[in-house]
Amino acid sequence: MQAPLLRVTEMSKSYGASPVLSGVTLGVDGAEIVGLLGPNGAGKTTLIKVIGGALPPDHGNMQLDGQAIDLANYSPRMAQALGVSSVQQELSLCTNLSVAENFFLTQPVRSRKWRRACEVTAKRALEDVFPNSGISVSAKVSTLTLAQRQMVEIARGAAAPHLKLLVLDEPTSALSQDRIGDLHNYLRLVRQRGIGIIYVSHKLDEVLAIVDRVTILRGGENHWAGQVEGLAHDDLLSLLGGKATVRSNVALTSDQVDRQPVLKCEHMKTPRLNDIDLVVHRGEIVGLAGLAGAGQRALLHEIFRPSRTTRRALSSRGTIAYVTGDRQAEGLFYLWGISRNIIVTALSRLSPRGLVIRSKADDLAQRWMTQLKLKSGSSIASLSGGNQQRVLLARGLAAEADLLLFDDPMRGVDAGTKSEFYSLLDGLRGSESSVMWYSTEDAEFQCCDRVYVMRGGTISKELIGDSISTDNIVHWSFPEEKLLMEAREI
Amino acid sequence: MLTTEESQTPRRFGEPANGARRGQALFEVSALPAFLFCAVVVVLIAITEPDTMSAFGIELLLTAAIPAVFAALAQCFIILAGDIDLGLGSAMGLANVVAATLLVSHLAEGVAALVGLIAAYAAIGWLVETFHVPAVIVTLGASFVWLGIALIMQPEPGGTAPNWLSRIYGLVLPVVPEPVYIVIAATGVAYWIISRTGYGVVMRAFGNRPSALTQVGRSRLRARMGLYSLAGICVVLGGLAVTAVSFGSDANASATYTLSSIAAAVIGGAEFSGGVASPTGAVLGGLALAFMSSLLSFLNVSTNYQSAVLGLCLVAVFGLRRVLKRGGGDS
Repeated sequence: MQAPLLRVTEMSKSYGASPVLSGVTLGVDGAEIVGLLGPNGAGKTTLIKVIGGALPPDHGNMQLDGQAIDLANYSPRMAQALGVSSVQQELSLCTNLSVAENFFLTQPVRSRKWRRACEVTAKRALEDVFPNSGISVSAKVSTLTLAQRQMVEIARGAAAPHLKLLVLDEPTSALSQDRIGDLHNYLRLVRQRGIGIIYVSHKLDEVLAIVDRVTILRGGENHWAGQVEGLAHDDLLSLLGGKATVRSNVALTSDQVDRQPVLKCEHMKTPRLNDIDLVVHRGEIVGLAGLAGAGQRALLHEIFRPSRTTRRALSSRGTIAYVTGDRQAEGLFYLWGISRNIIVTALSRLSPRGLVIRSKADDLAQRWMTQLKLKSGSSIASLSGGNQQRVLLARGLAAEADLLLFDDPMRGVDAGTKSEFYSLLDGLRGSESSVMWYSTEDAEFQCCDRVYVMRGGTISKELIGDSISTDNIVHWSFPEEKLLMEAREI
Repeated sequence: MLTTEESQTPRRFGEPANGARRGQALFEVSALPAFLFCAVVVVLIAITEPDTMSAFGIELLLTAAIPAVFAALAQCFIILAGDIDLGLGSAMGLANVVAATLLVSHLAEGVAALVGLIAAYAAIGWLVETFHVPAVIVTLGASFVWLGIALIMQPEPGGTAPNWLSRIYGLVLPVVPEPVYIVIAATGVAYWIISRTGYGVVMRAFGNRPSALTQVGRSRLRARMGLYSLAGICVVLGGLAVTAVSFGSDANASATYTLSSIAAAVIGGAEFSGGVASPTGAVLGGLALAFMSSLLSFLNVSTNYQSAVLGLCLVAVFGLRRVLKRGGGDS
């Protein structure tokens, strides 16, 4: 029998006293897509870093193409030379360089015309994976949107020379639905060329659509492995240890909602937004749906920090708090502890005479930490992504604001944290606080009372109660042209 | 409903268009305030002292500004690495003293000492990268070392410029005065290294995100030491320029270049977060600051007020930069 492309056995790694990987096994054949799943903190990212050479394991074996790899001297550079290309979850592009220059970093060209050569490579790579992306290879990465950066990152990883194994960690977290389709088409093509792919994702529908086999990790150990055929979304979910994520629709009827508006927005116009009209009532959970980049985030930013021109379009009562999904860039204070990170939005309440009342602050932090099952003492940087997101959530809730703005807070978060988040939302329903919630996972909107679907900077549809469904959201998210085309096909 | 912008471009829905801005151009928008500042000062000089716009006048003005140009370039490289050099002025003072004493009496030893200074800069880079000591602390400490060595070598101002150096700075070149060539050549070479060479990309990548270099399997140490060595070379060239311009040396005379070089680089569009610094902008900033001192002297502004006026101009330029940045930003 032919040796598998990649064979990882008995892989172990600890950070200090806490083991992250203990005796993990993973095999990938050529021409195969293996899904690597697990709740946050299961060790997926650590395993991938070991495979990519970015992290030395404590012990374990790794074989590539039947050749044992000396893990003591294994480095990212060696991994590249052996044809292992990793696309990291946290984007690793240099924002001050152009797209082509970022390609140069991983694929140096030794010739006098290296600039031109890199531009050609980058252009071809982008076109291969994401046709008509419209991304200029000479544009600086800092001028690109998050989705565009992710596309560049993926294209760069996929274009690695002598590629044998492509590792993708949450590759679609910022991508719109049709871009995910592009990626999947490309991966199927790559698979035909005999290349092995490791696909890490929390989006189970995507996993079911693209992978051949799955390996599930839990708590740093192998939990389950097998063919994906015959598995359904809920089967995977129960293997992952998540409860049913999507809750039944429990929208309040009109008289149950206290019809007092907390936020009203009339004819708001900005370069990114076009004539936005919306209202949020007290105790309501309002969703903001649509394709990534349709203006949802811009709208949240305008509501939270209106510019001089948009201020007139907004009328709001009470305080507003913001919970971001971009925990690295705009979220946490990494040098502070968990409790200080939580209470920072409530400081004015905690310091009536200018000085912070210590006991009150500790109480508040403690209350939210218990509620969100956060352990005190550890530093922010040592928390997993899901737990960092919980800290941000706790901060938003601790502000006790009248309106909470959620900016895709469950981006790349494990199923456990998600279901806890949903039950927290249920607790808020009908309370003094209202929520405005932007998400990239359409299924999540089932928890909302109302959903505004956005499209190209406008609100294309308001969905209420039972009409909130993934089908409806998708229908109103896509541009009409496309719908017309589909209709014609039918 | 489609906006006009969307219907014109073939890009897909939900992905905002982006301008086809070049990766790093010779002259970026970020260098605009420095250019404007420089242009305004030159115009004001031309109005107050029309005589300076002769070839000889330009030569005098520019010659006096050459040390500032090299200082700005040196600081530009350090800021590119995400650091700040607080010992730059003293290091230039040391190079100045070496050039006016040792280099005159013992050429070989003098050259060795200057090369040693460049190596010392590389060593500072090594220290910062390996031991994670903040660069401000290391360079601040180093500044006292430079000053100490310079004062031991030459306690009182004095010395002379080596003959060959004076000859180089006294060349008569066609079309425009020599200092113009020096400034353009220095800017061009620095720009070429940073923006046109492959390793320039690596060094810029390092300044932006050091961890990215680890991810692609490149040495962070090499990148930082490379940038510090380039800074060291500019410091030595700056020290030589001071010697040639002042025909002698003074250990303390170059101290002002520390802060003015930081100001020059920042006026020129450099970001303290690292990875963003334009040699063109830094040079324009350095020239503007040097011309500004000349202008204030022409206007008979008392030296007591000169710093204050300079400071106000800096605030104005930073303000302009801020406005431009917001206008050019993407979100």
